Amino acid sequence: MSQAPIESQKKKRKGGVGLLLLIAVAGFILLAVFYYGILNPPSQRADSGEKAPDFSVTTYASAPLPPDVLEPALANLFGGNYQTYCTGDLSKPRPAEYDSIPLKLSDFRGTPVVLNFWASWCTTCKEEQPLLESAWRRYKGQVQFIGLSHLDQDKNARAWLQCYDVTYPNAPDLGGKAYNAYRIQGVPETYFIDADGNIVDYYVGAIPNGSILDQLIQKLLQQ
Amino acid sequence: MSDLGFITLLIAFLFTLYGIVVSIVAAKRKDAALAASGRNALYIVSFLILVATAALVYMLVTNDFSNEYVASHSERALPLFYKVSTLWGGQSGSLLFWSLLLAGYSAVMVASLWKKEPRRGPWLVAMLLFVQLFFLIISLYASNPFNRLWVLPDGSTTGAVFRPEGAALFIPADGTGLNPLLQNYWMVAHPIFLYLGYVGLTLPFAYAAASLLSGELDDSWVKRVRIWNLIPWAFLTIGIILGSQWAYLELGWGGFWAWDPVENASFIPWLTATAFLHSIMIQEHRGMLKVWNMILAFLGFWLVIIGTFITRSGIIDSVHAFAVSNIGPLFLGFIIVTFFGFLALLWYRLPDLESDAELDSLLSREAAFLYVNVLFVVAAFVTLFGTLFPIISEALSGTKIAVNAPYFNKVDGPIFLAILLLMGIGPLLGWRRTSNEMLQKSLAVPVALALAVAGAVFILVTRNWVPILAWSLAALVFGTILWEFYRGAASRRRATGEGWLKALWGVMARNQRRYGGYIVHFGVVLMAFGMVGAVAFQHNLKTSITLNGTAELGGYTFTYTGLDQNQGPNYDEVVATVIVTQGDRNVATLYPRMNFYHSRAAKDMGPTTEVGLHTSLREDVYVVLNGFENGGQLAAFEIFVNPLMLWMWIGGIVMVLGTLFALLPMKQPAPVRVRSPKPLPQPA
Repeated sequence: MSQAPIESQKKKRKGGVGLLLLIAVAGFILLAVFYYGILNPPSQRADSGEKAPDFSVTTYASAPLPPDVLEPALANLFGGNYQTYCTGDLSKPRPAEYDSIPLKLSDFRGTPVVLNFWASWCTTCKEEQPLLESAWRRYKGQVQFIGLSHLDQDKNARAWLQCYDVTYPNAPDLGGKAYNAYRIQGVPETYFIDADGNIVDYYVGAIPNGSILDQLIQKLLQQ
Repeated sequence: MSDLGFITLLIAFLFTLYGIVVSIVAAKRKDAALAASGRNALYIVSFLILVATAALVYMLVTNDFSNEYVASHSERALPLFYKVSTLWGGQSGSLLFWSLLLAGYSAVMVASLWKKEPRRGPWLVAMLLFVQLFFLIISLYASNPFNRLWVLPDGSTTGAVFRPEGAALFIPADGTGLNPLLQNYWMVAHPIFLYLGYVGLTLPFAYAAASLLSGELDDSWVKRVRIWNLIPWAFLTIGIILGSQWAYLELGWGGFWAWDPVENASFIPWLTATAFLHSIMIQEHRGMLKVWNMILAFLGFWLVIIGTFITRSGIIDSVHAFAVSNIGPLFLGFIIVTFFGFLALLWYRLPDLESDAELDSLLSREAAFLYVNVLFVVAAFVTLFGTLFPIISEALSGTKIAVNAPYFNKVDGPIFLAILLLMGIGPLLGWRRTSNEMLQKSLAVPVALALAVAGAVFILVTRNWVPILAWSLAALVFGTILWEFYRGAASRRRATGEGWLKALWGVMARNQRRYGGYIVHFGVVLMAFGMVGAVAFQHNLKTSITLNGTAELGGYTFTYTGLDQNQGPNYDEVVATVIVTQGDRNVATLYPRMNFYHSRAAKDMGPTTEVGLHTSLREDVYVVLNGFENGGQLAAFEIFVNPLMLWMWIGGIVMVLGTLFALLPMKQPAPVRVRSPKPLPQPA
C-alpha cells in the first residue's frame, strides 16, 4: 500500500463516504447476526429417552361457539363446504370435565400420554385430526391424549374442535412455551410419553394412517 | 493414497504461503523476477491441488474404504459415474473440489492477464492465493478429505490423518453410500456449474482488490474484469437452472423453487453479480459509480462465502442441508477479515475513485442502470434477510421463526416485476438524457404489445392481476427487444443496402455484447412467461386410485393400470403405470417410480420419488407415486398440471445462448458508418 500516490491522501474523500458507511453498518449488523447464530446453534428436539418437559396450560372452553361466530370461522378454515369435514354436531358442547381448566403434563403421571401439537391453520392437521380422535375413543382409560394448538386464534381453534368433535383436552400453547420446550420445528408433531413422563417416541408431520398411530400407541403401552 | 493426498495438500499450503509473501514483496519493490516467482508458485499450487483431487477420485473409483470420506459417502454398488460425482457429494470433498476449481480459474486468469498487468499482476496472484489459503486451511485443519479410518480401543471408529493413541487401521467391507437424492443426472451436472459460478466470483473480487492494492484505478479495470464476471455469472445461471430442474424432477412436490436456504445461497450472489454486470457499463461509458462497482465486485464473492457459511455451518436448518459441521467459526473469521479488509482498502483509496460525471437526467440510460442496480441489490438483501430470519427472530424474541415461500414471493415478486419494467424501458433510453419525444417514439411498439397482451389475458385467460401484470411487462420487454433488433437492422440496411437478414446479422456481430444482452433478456422474458404460468395456474390433486380406476384433473383422465417391481444397480424400484388421456386422445403413458436404495445412508431417508412427466409447450403433466397398498390394488398419487413449464427451461437455454453470443470471438463483418438514430456514442 506504500505506493499510493501521495497526493491521493491529500485529496478529500467526498463521494462514496456515505455509501461506504451504509455498507459498513449493514455488514456489521449482518456479522452480529452471524456471531449470534454461531453462539446459538439450533437445538435438537426433545428426543426419546429424555424427560418430557412439563407445561402448564388452560384448556379451551367447552361451550360451542354461537352460530354467527362458528359458521364464518368454519368457512374460513375449510371453505364453503365445511360440512364435508365436520363429523360432530356443531351445537353440542364438548366434554364439561375439560372446560377451561388448568392442565399440566405432570397431572397425568402414571398414565401414558399422546401429546399432539397442531393448529387450525395447518392443512396436514386436517388429515390427522380424525385419526387422533378415533384412537382416543378406543384407548381412553389406557392412554391420555392432549392437544396443544400453536399460534392459533381462540375462535378458529374452537371451531376446529367443534367440527371434528374432539373430546380429549385441548389448550392453546400461549407464547409457544411448550413448543419451545419440546424444541419442535412445525405442526403437526406428536410426542409419545410413558407413564413416568419419559419420551418414548415422536412423529414429525401428520401421522398418515390409523395403523401407524396404533403401532406407536402399542409401543407406548409396552413400556 | 490418503497420505499422498494429504502431503500434496500440505506442500500446496506451503507454496501458497510462499506465493503470497513473495508477490507482496515483489509488488512493493516492483521486482519483476520476484513477481514471476510468485506467479510460478501459483501454478505449482494449482498443479498440486489437481494431484490431491486426483488421489481422492482414484480412491473413490477403486473403493478404497480405508479413507473416511470414501467410506462414508460411497459404496461398492454405486455406478462409476456417481462414484466420481461423490467428490462433491460431501462436505470435505466439495471443499477440495472448490480448491481445485479456484486453482484452475486462478491459473487461467493469471496466465491470460500476466503480460498486460505488470502492476496489478503480483497483487492479483497474492489475492487469489489468499483465498486459496483459506480453503486449504479448511481442508487441512477442519474438514480433511484424506482422513483414514481408525478403530479405537473402546471399539468405536474415528477418522484422522495420524494414528490416534492405541488405535488400529480400520477398513470397512463397504461404504455407507451416497445420499440417494444426489443419485440423479441433474445432480451430477448441477453442482459442477454451481461451483464454477460460485468459485468464479472470486475472480472479480480478486481483480478489484488487486486494483485497489496497486492503486491502478483508472476505468480499465472494469473493462478487463467484465469477462471474469460474465463467465462465472453464466455458470451460476446454468447451475441455478439445473438445480431447479433437479428439484422439479427429483423432490416430487410439483414446484421448481422453494426458497430454501441452500437455493437462496446460490441466488443471492447471482443477484449482485447481475447488478455488477450492468453497472460495469455505467462506469465504462460515463466514469460513474466507481466505488459502487468495487463494492459489487466484493459483494458477489462475499455473499458466496456467506452462503456457504449459512448452509454448511449449521446455523440455519435447511431441508436439504447435506452436510453440516464445525467449519462455521473458520468461515465466520474469513467473512469478518475480508469484510473489514476490503472496506479499509476502499476507504484508503476513496479519493482516487471520484466520479467523472454527475447524473444528468433521471431519464437516461445510466439512470435506468442505476435503478436496476438498486433493485437487484435490494432483492439480494431482502432474500438474505428472509434466509437469516430464524436467527434474527431468535436473537430478538427468543423464538426461532422461519419465513418461507410466501414471504419471498411477496417481497421479491414486486422487485422482479419492477426489474422487468426497467428491462422494457432502459434499453430505449439514450446515455445522458432522452427527450420525451424520442422515448415516445421508441416505446410505441413495446407499449402497444404490452397492452395487447394485457387485454388478451384479461379477456381470454384470467382476471387475476398478477399474471396480467407480469405477462404484459414481459411483453413490454419483448417489444423493446424486437424494436431494438428492427432499428439496428434498419439503420445498417440503409447504410449498406444489405438485405434484412444480412443487415441484422451484421449489426448483431458488430455489437455482440449489446445484442447478446438482448438475447439474454429474451430468455428472461420466456422464463417469466413460463414461471408465471406454472405458479399462477397450477392444478394439483392428491388421490388414491384403485387398480384400473381413474382420476381426473385439468381435463386429463389418469388411469392406473398396474404396479411393477424392478431391480436397479443399487436400489429396487416400484413403478406404477398411469395412462393419461384427454377425451379420446391418448396423451402419454407415465411411469412414476419409488426407488428404495439399499445403502445405509438411504435407510433413514425412506424411498425417493421419480416423477412421471409428460412435457409439452402447453403444459406439463406430472405424476408422483406416493405409496401403495395390498400389492398395488390401491396406489396413492399426487398429480400436477403445470402450464407453460417448458418455457421456463427454454428461457434458461436462451439466456445461456445469449451469454455465449456475447462472449464468443467472432469474425467481424466490415464496419460501416451507421447513421445512428441515437444522440450519443454507440453503446456496448
